[in-house]
Amino acid sequence: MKAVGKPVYNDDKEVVGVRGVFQDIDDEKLKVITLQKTSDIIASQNSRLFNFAHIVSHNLRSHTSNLTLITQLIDDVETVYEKLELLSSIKDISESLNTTIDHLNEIVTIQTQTSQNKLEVSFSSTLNNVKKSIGGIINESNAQIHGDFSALPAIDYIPAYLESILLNLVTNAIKYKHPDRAPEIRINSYVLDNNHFLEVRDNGSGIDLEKYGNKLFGMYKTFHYNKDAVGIGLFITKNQIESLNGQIFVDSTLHQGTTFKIQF
Amino acid sequence: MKSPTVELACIIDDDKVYVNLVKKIIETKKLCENLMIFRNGKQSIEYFEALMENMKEDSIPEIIFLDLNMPVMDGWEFLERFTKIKNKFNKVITLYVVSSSINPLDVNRAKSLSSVKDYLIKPINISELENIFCKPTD
Repeated sequence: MKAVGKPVYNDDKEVVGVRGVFQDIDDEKLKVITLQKTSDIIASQNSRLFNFAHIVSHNLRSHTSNLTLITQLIDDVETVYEKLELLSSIKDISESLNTTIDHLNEIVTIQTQTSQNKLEVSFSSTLNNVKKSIGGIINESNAQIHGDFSALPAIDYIPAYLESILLNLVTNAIKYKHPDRAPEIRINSYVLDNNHFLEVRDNGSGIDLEKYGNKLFGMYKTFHYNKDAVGIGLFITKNQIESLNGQIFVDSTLHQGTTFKIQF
Repeated sequence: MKSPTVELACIIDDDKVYVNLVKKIIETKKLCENLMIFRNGKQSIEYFEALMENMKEDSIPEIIFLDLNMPVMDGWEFLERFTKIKNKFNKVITLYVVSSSINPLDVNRAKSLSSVKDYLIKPINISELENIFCKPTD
């Protein structure tokens, strides 16, 4: 509602009333809000694209530069044995190049699949799928997983994404468990101010957010000596969530545990 | 070709293929006597910090080639900690950042640091490497 008015004076210059118009500007307001939302989406897409271009350039460069080095060196080494050794390095490069391309493909797929149909997905059945697919490491680590989805049993989402997000967060919670205790993971969903949330809380070794906070969701960033740490999981998770206009937050205390919170 | 004047060089890089290739070049061209390799910043800074306690001159490298993107501890964090102890060594240590990042932000940031001699973009070429070893403190 917008009100515009002017005072009305009598002959003695005294205010005797107000004359004006009340106007319904609901439509305009709604348009501004929609516009702002569109602009936010474009800004976030743009920053993801920029980030992606950077990743492509950096990750591919490291392989091509190794190839360049090899071709230089092949001329310089004398024996056949040494030349064969270099050939086997080319095989290694080709393998890592393939892995990199696979990762990049996975990211591109995320960016283009946002139009994919959302369905009503149940949290508990998604969690069950995740538990089934990583039953081995759950048993091995004696992990306890408690899911409470009573406040929000299901959401409209791309089913494969929700599964991949839960899989990544649960696997991480187990991978980075505290050395002195079995992992305990609490997962719950809820509604706050009309927004849908999912929280995954663990009692693991925690992350030094001051040191690593800004790199946590970066590609190929790993902070542990774990052999199987590749540094792609949280990057993919963040991309999946953001491609559907959600957000992911992290809170962590070293030696106590980590909580990931997703706003859908 | 000059005989090597560099006794000990150090590579800090997590890319195994790259490290093997540089090692091969250094061996083939006989650029230095000994080579130390660390897979990330943490391993190497722990080595240098321990060296502070027990200063052995022949364990201090004359040249360091440092990568930026590494797991566990990256090159930036290494530089931050290395700069604090660098001057306590009784030997001149020349440090080159070697990265595949062509991001001007990275290049300028590295070049602005007093402990960084130069920023080399991968792939480094063999003659460039030879030059560095022939006049390391120049």
